[in-house]
Amino acid sequence: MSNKIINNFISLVKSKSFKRGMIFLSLLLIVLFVLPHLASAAPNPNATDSGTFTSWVKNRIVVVLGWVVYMIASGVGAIGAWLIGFMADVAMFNNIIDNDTVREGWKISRDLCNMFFILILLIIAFGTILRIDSYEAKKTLPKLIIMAILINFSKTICGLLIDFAQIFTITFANAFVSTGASNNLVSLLGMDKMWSMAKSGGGGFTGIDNQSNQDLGFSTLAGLLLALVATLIAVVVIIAIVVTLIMRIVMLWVYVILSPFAYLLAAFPSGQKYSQMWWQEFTANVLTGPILIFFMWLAFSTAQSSANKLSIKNEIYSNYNGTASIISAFLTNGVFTTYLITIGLMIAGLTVAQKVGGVGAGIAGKAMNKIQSGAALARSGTWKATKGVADWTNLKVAGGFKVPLVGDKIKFNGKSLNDLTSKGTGVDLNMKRNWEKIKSGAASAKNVSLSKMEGAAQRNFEMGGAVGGVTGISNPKWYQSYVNGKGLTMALRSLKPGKGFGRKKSAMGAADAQVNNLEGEQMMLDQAHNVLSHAKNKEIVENYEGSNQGVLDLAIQDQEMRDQKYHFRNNMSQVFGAMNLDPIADAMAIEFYNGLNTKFSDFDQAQTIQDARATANPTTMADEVQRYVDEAKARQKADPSLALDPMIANLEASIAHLKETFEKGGKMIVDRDAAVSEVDDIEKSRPVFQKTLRDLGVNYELPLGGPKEFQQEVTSQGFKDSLTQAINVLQTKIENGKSENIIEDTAKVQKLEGLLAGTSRIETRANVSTSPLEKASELVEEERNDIRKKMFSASERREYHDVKSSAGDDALRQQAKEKEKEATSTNEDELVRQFSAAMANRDTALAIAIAKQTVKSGGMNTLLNKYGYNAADGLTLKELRKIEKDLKDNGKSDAEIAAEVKKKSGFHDFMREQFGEKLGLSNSAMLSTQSDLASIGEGGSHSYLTKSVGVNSRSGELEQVDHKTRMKVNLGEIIKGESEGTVRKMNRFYYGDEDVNNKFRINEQGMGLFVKNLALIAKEIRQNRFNINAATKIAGASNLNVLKETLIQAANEKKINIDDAEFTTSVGLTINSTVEERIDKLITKLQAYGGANLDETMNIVESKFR
Amino acid sequence: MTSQEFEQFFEAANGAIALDDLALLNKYWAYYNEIKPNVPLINGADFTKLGIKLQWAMLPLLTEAQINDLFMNYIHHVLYDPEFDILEKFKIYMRGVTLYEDRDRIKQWLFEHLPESQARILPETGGEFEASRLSFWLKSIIAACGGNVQDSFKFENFFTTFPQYLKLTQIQKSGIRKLMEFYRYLSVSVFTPEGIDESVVVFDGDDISIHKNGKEEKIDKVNFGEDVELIDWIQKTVQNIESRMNTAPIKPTKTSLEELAIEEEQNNQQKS
Repeated sequence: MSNKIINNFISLVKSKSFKRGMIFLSLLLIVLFVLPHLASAAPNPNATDSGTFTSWVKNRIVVVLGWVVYMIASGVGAIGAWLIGFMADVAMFNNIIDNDTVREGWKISRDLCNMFFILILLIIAFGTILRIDSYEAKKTLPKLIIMAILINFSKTICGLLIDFAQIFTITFANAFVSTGASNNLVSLLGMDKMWSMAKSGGGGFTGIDNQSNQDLGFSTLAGLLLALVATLIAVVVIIAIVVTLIMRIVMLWVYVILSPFAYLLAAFPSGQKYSQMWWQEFTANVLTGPILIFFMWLAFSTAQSSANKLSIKNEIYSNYNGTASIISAFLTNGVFTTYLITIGLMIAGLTVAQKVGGVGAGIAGKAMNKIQSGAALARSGTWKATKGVADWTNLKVAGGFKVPLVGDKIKFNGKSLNDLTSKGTGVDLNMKRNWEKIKSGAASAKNVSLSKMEGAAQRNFEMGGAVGGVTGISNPKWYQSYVNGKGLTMALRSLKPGKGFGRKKSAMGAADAQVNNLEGEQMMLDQAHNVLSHAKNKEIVENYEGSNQGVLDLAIQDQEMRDQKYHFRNNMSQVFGAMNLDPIADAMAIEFYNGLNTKFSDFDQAQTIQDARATANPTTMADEVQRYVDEAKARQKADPSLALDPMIANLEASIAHLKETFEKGGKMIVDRDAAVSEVDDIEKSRPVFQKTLRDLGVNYELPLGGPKEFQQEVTSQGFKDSLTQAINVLQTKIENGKSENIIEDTAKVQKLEGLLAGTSRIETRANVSTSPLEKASELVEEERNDIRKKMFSASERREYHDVKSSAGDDALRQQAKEKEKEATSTNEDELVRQFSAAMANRDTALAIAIAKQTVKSGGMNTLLNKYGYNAADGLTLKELRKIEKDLKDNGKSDAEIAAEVKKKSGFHDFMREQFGEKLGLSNSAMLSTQSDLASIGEGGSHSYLTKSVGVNSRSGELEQVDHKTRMKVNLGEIIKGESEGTVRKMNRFYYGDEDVNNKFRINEQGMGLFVKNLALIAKEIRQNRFNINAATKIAGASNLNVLKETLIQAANEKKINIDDAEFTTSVGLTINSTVEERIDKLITKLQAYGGANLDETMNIVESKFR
Repeated sequence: MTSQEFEQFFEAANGAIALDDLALLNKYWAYYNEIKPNVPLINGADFTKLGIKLQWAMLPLLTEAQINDLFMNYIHHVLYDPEFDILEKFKIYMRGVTLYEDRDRIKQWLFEHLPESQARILPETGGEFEASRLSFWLKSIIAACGGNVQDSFKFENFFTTFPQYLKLTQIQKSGIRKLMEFYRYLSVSVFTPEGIDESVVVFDGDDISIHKNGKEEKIDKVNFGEDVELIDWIQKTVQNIESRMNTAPIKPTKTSLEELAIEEEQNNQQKS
């Protein structure tokens, strides 16, 4: 309720009529203050009688007006003074729990609630019988019992909470009441000085009657009007505070009386939202008191001293003839500033009380919700779960699916009567909907006019000066501006003319200025970097394109590679065909052959030789093949009838040729491709930089050239002069008060100063033009990093980072969504290429869109491999640090540590390094992107993606989930949903991870699935329905061996039941077989099944590329 | 490619899990589009059926318009297939939509338009023209639940009392039920906890829980015998086995799986 009062007060301040009144009064004041001086600026020394008569009449009017204003103002003042005293009494009131209203009311509602329990028990009984989930006894009964007990203590609990808040309230209230609250506040608000005059021209009010000095009369009237306005404002604020405090007390009584219901409803699923509403409102009311009183106390104890520092020393203006004009003492010796600050603090108290009340209530609501269902969690990013129970609009959205009113229940052809009438006649019978429409229409009209006014007033405020200060007050958010340290502070600071700019700049905050400065500097260095890499790439392109031979080489190499590949593959299959290996060796050979084929397929897909080199490692391949060639030789020796020799010779020649071709794959060719695309981009960067300069007001055309030209240009006096000129123009504008947006312009000036600093940085690197390009590039890169680091710490200091990043998440998602149109391919290789391009262009949104599409089309493992990561979950930052530390303690070198870490890296590392470091996403944006990818991957083919990000419910932030927890969580969930269908669908990534060389290794999750689902898996294998993809990969010797040993151990330790009837049938065992034999049989079946399907898979892959 | 192979791929993709093969399927789909008139193995009607089934299998990769079209006109192609879980498939698609506002819009569009669909989902036997249409069934359940399909009691009651439903065969019943469950899912806004389809791991100090569709589940130890955590046990066991393999002497003959495995490991180590 108190919130409502504050809201009402704020909406009064915001209301049109109030604002109009304020503007009118402000204008009146200006007229009264300024006009008399203007009118008498050129007095006529030869005044005639008629002149004297006119001034006599004027004085009479002034006297009459003065009397009227005086009467009204003193009346309002008297009310104000009384209210101040009353406020002190209200603040000290402490009898909230222990009075008759509460005692009797609570007793009745408690007894009523106790009666309801029987009814609820009946409902639970029915719910359990009818199997309505949310009413089952298992879920609801414990809660009910707890609540039954709590109901009888509800008053005590409320009392405790209220007392806790009252301790603070009373402490602060005591502090100012004991020092004579009413007198103190009267003097703080300057109410005692409003009626006295600064100069004894007429001595207080009587001055108005002094006919001998007409200026005195005008000034006195002005002083009185000022007093009236100030008193009115003060009284309104005090009334708001008093009413807030009184309503708080009354509402607390009401809520305490209703407290048993809050507990009763909490025990009941559909009543929980009302219970939460109670908690929210109750907490809001409890919190409002101490916060409001705290600000009152703050006003009493600090306003005077704070104001002294701000006070204006020369309030009394000299008259035309040198005598000081008379003005209200209210405007002297800092009384006015004290008044402003006191009023400001009081309004700040109201505003903060309202906000904190709301937040506190939100927390209480959430906590209650968590107690009840554990479901209320709010997460930034994807986890936009509960929006709080009080969010009625939200319920209404959901309510769109419900049919709440009678008119909606009458259905015709599937549509409600209300809908039909609304469509046909334009008359809507749904009163609720009508009311919403009216409300929203009124609100939007109000918002439009408010925002117009706000904009104008805010500009005035920021502009500062006396005019800005006065007209700016009509800004409905002026108190907020004040709280934020902008607006009024700025207006006050700039009351003194002349040094406006310097003051405003300091008001901006040093950190802000530094960030702006650094941004400017970075801009300059970025451009230097662009120019340098442009030159480097251009050189490559030109050199390469200059020679036709190079292009020819590329074509030949490419063709050779392709020829070799087919040749090689034919030879291999002949060798394998003729070798007649034993079954296991055969299986291994087939596995190898399959691997080889995959590599060739990759090669087919790869467009450049460099790509092929990345996917197929010639040395490893040659070594592998050599093993089989040796084997073939041995066979040949043993059995001369095989006639393998010619093929072996052919194969060996192929290996040599293959190796050679791979190694020849030109660096130049690849660099050329990359360089061409980069040159294109950088050609575009110049106009962008030029535009930035123009936006900053710099008139200078930068011709595009090599690094030498660039360095000459940016360090030339002409360029520097134009920067300085732009700075001067802006500064003059700001100082003369002609700037339209002072904050923006100040930031511009700072950026320009940064640019100047950047030019000198480039200048000091004298060797940029003489040293080799790469060296120069490195130097500039160093500088850029340096700036980036500085920028980061500066950003942190202005505590703006977090707000930005959390606000940026949704914006980023929106951008990525827009880029989805560019990422529609389902071809993995195409996607990987697109991703690389996006990374090179630093196009974050596109990179995210492509990553999403890659996960959707199941190509994330390819993407990870391409970037050198395993298709696994990888290391969280914590795990990474631990491994690094352990290895370091064991005396490993940095290179060894890096290699070891690389071996374990995966999805986590990919996200951190590529999205976090390379694309520069903030931690929260990176994690929410990872969380999005994980959601898409959930239920998809790539188990290592799922649940890789979790929410910390205490901090509300996202976290990467470590390996063990992820295994546990994932396994728990899969086992729960165990069914034949699930087992059939789970592909290799459910059983293990794959490293960059496509080597598959079974992991804890895979082992756990076997251990937990052994009988089911055995059955699926027997019926040839186990997932083919998983079987072919698991069927490798080392995986099978580990699996076998683990299963045997589990069976021996009696952890799995291999005597199970289903398992027994599946493996087809005899009665006397041992544990080893049984498991062995299963493994052999799995191996055979995986091996057999290998052929099939190979055929399909063959046909794919035929 | 034969129709059998096609079916094989379809089955592979049907389990939402095997998205791996979807990219491949997509290629085949393009291939089929090109040679459509000259396919001797499959006649026109079969081809259309396969095409539609393929689209259903690839649901998570389709556009919003394609999905709306599928649901409005071709739902009967998969409705009675016990292997095809429409709801699960649709949830995978939804998880791919990262903006919650978009998810809500998609759900709401289907929620509002499906009851208007005149797609024939059951045969028109005995002149039951009306009862063969999709709209009939959805409107019936809406009416039976009094407009609120979230009403569990009324929802369940429908399946035991509605005369036309009771007349259906077992397979048809399960299909219709699947449809209703799907429609019920559509009625929940994603801005409520129940509407969130992805499972969210939540840490609260040492407690870990999973939240999904408004339900919270505590993750306790996956117990394995007396107070042994499965993952711990596996990690320890595998470590033992591997260390034994690494220290075992090399034997010249390849007779057992273990020795083969040792060799494979050693080769791997040499290579890396």
